[in-house]
Amino acid sequence: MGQEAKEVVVNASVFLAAILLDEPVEVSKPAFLLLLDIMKGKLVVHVPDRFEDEVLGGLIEAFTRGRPMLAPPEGVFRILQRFLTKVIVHRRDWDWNPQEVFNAALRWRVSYYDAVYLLVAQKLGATYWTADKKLLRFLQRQKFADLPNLGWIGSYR
Amino acid sequence: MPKRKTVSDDELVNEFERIFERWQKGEINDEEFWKWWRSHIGIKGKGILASFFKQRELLRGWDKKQRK
Repeated sequence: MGQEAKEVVVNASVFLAAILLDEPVEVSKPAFLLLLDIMKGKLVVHVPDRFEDEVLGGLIEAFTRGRPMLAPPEGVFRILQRFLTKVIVHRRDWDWNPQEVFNAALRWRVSYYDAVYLLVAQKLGATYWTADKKLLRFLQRQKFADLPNLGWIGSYR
Repeated sequence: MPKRKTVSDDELVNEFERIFERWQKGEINDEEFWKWWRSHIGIKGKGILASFFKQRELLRGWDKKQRK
């Protein structure tokens, strides 16, 4: 039988890095490979409920800024949905609540936004993957004992 | 990179499905899929991820005064 799938939490920046051409290949290629690993069933991906808003918001920003596109927006949206439907969405008041996120943000000295992702990863015992290098550096310096495992997408695979 | 002709949404999705199926069957590898993805799906978006991160930094209160 194949290996057991790894549990991960993925930040919206990883999906955006996979499709934005101007990002360095050292970041965008591993981000794309992570998407493929989702489709291979190697990863079980968890995200908080704000994730899709952020990914699609980033796409809208790219399209409305009038960037010359290789692909039509509706087509990109439909293709992205193939990947987004594979992720498990964790919802406010079901899987996390504002009080615990608030407390976690204060404890880890990060934003409320960061804490939602980190808390979901901590609860699941999952690795948190992000393209945000500065956040990772900050958290690694702090050495909080209760943080989840962290990974920068550039080092994926 | 050679210029591609404009494709419709349906053409793009159908092409993706064909490539995806070939990848699933092992007819093309991850590297070939990546090359196709870059040349067909990629979106020009210089600075979008940087501004995405900048917004998050502001939410953390990471202004210049606080940084080393």
